[in-house]
Amino acid sequence: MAAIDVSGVTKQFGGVTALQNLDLTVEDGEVFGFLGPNGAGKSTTIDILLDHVRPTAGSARVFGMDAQDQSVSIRERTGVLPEGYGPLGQMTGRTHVEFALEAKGAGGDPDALLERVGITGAADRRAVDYSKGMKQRLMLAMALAGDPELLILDEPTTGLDPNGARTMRKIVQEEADRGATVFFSSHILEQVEAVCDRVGILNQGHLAAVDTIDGLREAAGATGQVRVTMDAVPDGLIETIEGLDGVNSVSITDGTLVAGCENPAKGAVVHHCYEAGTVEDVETSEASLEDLFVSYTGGGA
Amino acid sequence: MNRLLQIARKDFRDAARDRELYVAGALFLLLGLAIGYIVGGSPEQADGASVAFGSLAGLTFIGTLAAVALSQNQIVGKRSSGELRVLLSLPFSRRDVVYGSFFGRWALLATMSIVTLVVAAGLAFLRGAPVGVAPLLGAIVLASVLLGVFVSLAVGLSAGSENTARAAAGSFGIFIVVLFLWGQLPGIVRYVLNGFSSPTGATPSWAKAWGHLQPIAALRNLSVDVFPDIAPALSAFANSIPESQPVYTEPWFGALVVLAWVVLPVTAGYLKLRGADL
Repeated sequence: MAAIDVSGVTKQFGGVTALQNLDLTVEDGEVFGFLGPNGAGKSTTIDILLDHVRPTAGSARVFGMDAQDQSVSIRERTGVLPEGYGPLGQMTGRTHVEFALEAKGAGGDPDALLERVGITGAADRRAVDYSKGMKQRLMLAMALAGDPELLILDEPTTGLDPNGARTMRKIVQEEADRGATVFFSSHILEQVEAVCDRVGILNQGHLAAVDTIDGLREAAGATGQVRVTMDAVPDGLIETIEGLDGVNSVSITDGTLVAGCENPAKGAVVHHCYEAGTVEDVETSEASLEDLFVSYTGGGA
Repeated sequence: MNRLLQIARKDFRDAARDRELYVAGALFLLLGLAIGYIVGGSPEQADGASVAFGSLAGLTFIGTLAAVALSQNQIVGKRSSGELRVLLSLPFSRRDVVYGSFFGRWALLATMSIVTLVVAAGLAFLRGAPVGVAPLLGAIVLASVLLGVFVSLAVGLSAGSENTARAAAGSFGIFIVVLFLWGQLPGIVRYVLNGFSSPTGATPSWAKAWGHLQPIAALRNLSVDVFPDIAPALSAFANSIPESQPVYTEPWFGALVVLAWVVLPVTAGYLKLRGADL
């Protein structure tokens, strides 16, 4: 059974269309990264899953239940790190986690959860006085309360320092190993690349692509790179290489010729460089996720 | 239901660290001290109901004002701070949040009015005035119901408003209308209907009935037979009952009106919030 099933969802705010006929399925047990530039509709999608906003058309189901009619039942089994969260009144960090455990009807040691996210030392302080990163960690601890079957994390690494981001990745991995489904949005690509089974790229309310990272690389194809360092770049070489099949871009910086091209074209690029002059070094690289991202979102990010 | 009570308990406990609450608490305490001091100052003129009467009269103004002040930000404030998002990411329904806050605040205000009555009774008793237990209990019940009306109004407006300024203006506006302008409204309507000139002739019966749809009058009408020595404390902000005792001044009618004032505002606010995008 799919953990999340969004079908034909459109959401308009006033005259603005945030989501346009979105279809999205997240399988049970997978880690799904939801990517997109700011304003693409990631948070709106999550808000619809949580019944914080209602779709203009279409329907969303979580665990096979309607997101609007059975929202509480869904949230009993889901841990959420929402966007735009605020601390609960004047409660301390520990009381927050206790409150979440009580709401979930779950046992569990609040201190263990606080330790897991790395804010044990601040357990007895009021959460309103926490730094942004500490609040974020506290919200994650609340999301983890009661070992939910599904974690929905909206921009979980925003506001975290590198250590915090690493903790977040580790926790996502641990939760996935436990068998939980993880659905998280991000515009930070490395986070997604490191932990996700599949990635969906959302752009302007449309799902531009859904696949594994490798699959996306293949599908996008064009975004590999070869860098050839020569003692001198002869005249006309750029034009020759630009004319090759599968080459998208050529530039020269400090005696290094950089060609953006599909993987099969790399050999031909290097071959032409050998014939034209003295090659000192050759490097090739796969498409970075950022290249993929830019290619799917039209560079608008 | 458990989750609704969890919200109510949280709401009640939240108050313990809230600076606003200390100001309001001090007011309730001062009111109790003042009533106790005054009644205790002339013990020979006091009877067993004097403390209860005086406290209820004071709470009709200070208590209701505090109820509005402490309730008007309960939902919309959480909405703008992001707390509502967190609650609605946990397995709470919007119903839990609105009615839980309503019951939590109501319990808080009722507790504070008990403080007023107990302090007043204690001080008056120490100064030698008679203090009856039954009138005290009666005053606690009446004050609690009255504060419930104003908590319902303010929490309802808070749930139905999209920003804190509107909720505050609406809540205090309704407070002023109910306490001070209610009796003038029929006159204004008649003035307008009469082509913007003073109406002539006898007051029509709808205008007389209107005065008894006000919650304070309705509560007085409801309870005047049961607590004849303390219910008139509510009359400072209510139309008096005419000699003829028309049907709308009957206790059962008053009970319906009070019930509507407690239930409808918070429910209207809930329904507005239920349909809203956060």
